[in-house]
Amino acid sequence: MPLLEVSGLSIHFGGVKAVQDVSFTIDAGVVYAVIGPNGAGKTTLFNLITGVYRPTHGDIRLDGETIAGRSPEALARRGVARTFQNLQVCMNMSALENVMVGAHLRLDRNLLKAALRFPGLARRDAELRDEAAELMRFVGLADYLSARADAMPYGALKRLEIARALAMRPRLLFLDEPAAGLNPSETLEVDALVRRIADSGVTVVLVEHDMKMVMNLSDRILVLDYGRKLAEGSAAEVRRNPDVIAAYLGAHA
Amino acid sequence: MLAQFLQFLFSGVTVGATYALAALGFTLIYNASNVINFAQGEFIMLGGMLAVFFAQSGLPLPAAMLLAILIPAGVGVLIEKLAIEPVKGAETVSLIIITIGASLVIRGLAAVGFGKGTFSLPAFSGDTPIDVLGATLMPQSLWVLGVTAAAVGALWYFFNYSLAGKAMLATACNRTAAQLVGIDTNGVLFLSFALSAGMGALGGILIAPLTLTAYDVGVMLGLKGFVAAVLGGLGNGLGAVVGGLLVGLIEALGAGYISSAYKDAIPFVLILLILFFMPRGLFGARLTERV
Amino acid sequence: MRTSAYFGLLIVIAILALLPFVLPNSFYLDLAIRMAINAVIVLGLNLLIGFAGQISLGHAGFLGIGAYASAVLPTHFGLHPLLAMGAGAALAGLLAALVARPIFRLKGNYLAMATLGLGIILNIALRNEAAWTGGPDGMPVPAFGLAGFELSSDRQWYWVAAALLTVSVWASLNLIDSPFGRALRALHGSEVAARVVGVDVARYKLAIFVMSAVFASLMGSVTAHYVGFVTPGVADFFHSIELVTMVVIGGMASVYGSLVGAVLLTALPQALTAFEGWETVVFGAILMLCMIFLPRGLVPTLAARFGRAA
Repeated sequence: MPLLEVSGLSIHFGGVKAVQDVSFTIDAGVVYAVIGPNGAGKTTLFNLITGVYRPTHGDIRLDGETIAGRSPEALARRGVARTFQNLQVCMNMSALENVMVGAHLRLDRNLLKAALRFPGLARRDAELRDEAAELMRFVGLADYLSARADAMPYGALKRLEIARALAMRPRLLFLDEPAAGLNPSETLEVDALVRRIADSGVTVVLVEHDMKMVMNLSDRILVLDYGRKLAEGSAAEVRRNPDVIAAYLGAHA
Repeated sequence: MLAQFLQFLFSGVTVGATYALAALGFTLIYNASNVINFAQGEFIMLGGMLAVFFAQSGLPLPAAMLLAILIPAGVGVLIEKLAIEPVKGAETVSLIIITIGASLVIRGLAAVGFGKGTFSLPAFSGDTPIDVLGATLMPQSLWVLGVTAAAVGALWYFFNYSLAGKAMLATACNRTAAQLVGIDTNGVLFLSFALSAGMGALGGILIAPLTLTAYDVGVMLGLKGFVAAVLGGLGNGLGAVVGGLLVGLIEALGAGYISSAYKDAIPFVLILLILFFMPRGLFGARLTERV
Repeated sequence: MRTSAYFGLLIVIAILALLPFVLPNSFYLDLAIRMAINAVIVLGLNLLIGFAGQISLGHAGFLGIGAYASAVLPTHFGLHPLLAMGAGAALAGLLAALVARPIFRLKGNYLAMATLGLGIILNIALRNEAAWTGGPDGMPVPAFGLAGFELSSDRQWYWVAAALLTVSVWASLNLIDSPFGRALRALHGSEVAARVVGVDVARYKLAIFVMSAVFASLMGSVTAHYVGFVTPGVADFFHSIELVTMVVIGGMASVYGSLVGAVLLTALPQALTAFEGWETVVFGAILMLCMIFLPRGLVPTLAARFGRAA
């Protein structure tokens, strides 16, 4: 059974059909990329699968269980994590705290115990601080361990989102353009980072415009165009697909 | 029975017209800037008080009224220039505090300038009540309704047929996009403060002959205008007018049939019920947030 | 950051411990007690406004519930003051939950409307139900006693208020640096980010709103017992605004800012008596100027200037 199974997925905003009848499956342990021209519906697809939007039609199954229309928090409990194309970092918190928030569901969230600083809770928080620092080093943010989020550069914030998602210990991680706006050397670092994440056993789904990175990393690629599935397959298959070539060269018939 | 009902209806719709104008004021500013202007009620107060002041100092009523609209409009613009524009993009809470600060300044100045007494403005065309099926209708009520209708009509024309009006609508719809196509969004902000202050003041002048006026009437009138705006779905112009009339009507009926002591509480009970069951008001739009 | 935050608590304790020995007379002691009580209320409100990013324009209403519960229940029903206090807090919490539940799925302005409406309704009810509340003139509140000991002198009250404040500062510091507190701050920073990591945003908003309402009610009871008299003014719109102003001027999302805001705004009316007749104007102008020139509030602005975390 595939880890994620999407069938006939569509969403309409008024008259705009942002995603139309898209189906695909993702096996556990792969790196899966979603590509397509701007406005093809990639981020919308992410928003649908991670519960931010509610699909108009279609089904999404995680481990065979329907998750279409579930809230993001319900999906988080099932091990689905994501980052955002437009940064969603909490600028009112420190970098480390942003990562710690990722561990939310693994912690004791009791209000009263927190206010009275129960020893067990405080101890767990201290451990979490170390875990979060470790994650920040893992994504290459060792220099920002004591930084405020609002004092960090763009590229570092992109990685901070990845660290926060990893703090959830996800099974399925959605990365929405992790390399957008990064310079070539940063892109290479993110490339290596995604590789390391995948090697640690997390299934990664990636939206990315950097074709070198996509071709290099992905086991399978889904191509979207105008909200529809244009092609799906291995990197080599997709590269040869005439429809994909047409869409990317702009020779859209 | 019918006469009594009609009586409540008349007074409800009359007061409701003032709420509608106030609600339109909230809506205009909200659409241009996402600010809830808690000083809106003070424009209503200023309108009434200034009209009394100028009328008593011997100006003919139309001239007094004109000044009593223009001065609050100027005050509105001043608030926008000095207090809203400099903090653009601040948190909702901060913006609310700023407008509350402005309302305190205006109210405080009015108390110092006019004193804390109550004043009345002579009715525009006499105090001889008109008998309608046993209920009395004050001629001033007709003035209130007529002028309000004319003002709403003019506003509607302005938004649909003038470039400035369309620019305001475009800004309300999408500020960044409006800026990109060359709309002067600061000008829009300026205009919306002037318009909503003038609108509030007009409401204050119209209602003053019926309800008396004082330096502190703006608080309740403004808050009820806010209720009306939320009732109609914040940001919706037609909703604001309907909301205003509804709030006035329900308040009058509630005060008449249920409890006059709780008259001022009725709009707020109403809005809590509405928010409980229809959290976006009567005509509020459903939005999908982009991330 | 964390150690420096708790270091501040030591300073607060030191000031609170020394204050009664340096205050020249009972006027200042009374002022200090009212500052401390307000500071506790503002701490609770700041958790809601500053940390969680939700607004309440009717918080004085919750204060009023507590104050009147402590006045009405012992007077008319012979209830023990402690039970009355608990009943008020329960009622405040219940109302808060009822009103805010559907609204927390929406944005700030609707919550502003709902809380404002609730506060005004409560205020009007307190004025109208004269048989129970004494109407606009208010009513006396019986003294607070426990196990044969009665709180009477200002000195005793001072130590009670100081203890409450110390515990509240400590608990607030604990809370914001806990999983619960981080979830609150995260939903303020980015609601969607909080949701995708599993924070049940609506539930957290509700929890903190109810908590701050309960807090306000309890402190309303304390104020009522201390002053010995309540009037509907405790629950009016202007008082709600005053409380929000304390939060905002001291500094949103700043524990010590809450203290500074409460101290300054409690002292302000005394200072403004010099501006006889112009108090409202000056108060309004101060609000506007603070928000325009110190939008983050006093403590965070100063802390940033001197390069220390608040």
